[in-house]
Amino acid sequence: MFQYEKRLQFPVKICKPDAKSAQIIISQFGGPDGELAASMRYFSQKFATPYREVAGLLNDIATEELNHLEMVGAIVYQLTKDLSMDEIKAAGFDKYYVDHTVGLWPQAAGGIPFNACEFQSKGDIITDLHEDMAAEQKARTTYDNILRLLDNPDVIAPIRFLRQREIVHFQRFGEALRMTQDKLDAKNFYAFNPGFDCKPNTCK
Amino acid sequence: MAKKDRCAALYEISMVDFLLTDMMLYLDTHPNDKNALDYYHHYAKILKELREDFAVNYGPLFAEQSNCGKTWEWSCEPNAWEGVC
Repeated sequence: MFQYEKRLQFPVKICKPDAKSAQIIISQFGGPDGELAASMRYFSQKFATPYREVAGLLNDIATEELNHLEMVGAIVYQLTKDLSMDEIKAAGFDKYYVDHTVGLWPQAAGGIPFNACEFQSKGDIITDLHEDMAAEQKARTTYDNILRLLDNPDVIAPIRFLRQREIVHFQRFGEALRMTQDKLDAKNFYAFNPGFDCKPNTCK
Repeated sequence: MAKKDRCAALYEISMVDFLLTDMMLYLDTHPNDKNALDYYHHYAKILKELREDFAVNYGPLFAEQSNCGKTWEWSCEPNAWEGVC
């Protein structure tokens, strides 16, 4: 279960609206390598994960990704509130505005809606952890791309924080893969699904 | 001035909670690291106190910290995404 705490993981306080930056950053809200996909990926994968400690890590990182989703939402919200109609038109924000006004909607920067096909839950912990490590790197690359396009320090600070967390999560998933492999036959890391073809801790 | 104090108090909670989140993920994959366990428990105690002080002085971070009164304090306080402390 979850309990809400009324604060962000890292403060977001942006004074200057900037619809152009918002249209880029929204990709980390509902885009292919965004925080919604990240959270739902790990949250979905945890259930059929055969090793309790690895499942626990998936749950803890899924929870942190929800915090990140809220931070990205706060960034986009604060960048788009108090825009004039001229600013909306000048920034090319009119195409988003016509469908959502300045409400948050999970989409990629190019307008493609959020879709569960952006992640997998394969029911094989080796497969899933490889996907998770790739996902963290893809999100890190996206934040790198975003940072090259930004100039407002109020926006850069939380985005840099989020980028750094991708690196930490990648490290932890790498350790979880190692913990999983330690339970398998060292000569046979990839040949079977440890959660399906044999009971946990009994694979030879 | 009261508003600035609220910001500082919230920032302190966020710092300590972040430290604990990062350490939690570390402990998930290093469950027997004695130094990390001590570090975690030391700051977990500090965070608990900071959260209790915050609720008394500035309002609830969790719904059940809402004070008794005529209005529902939980929904009166600013939301996290508003950009105000």
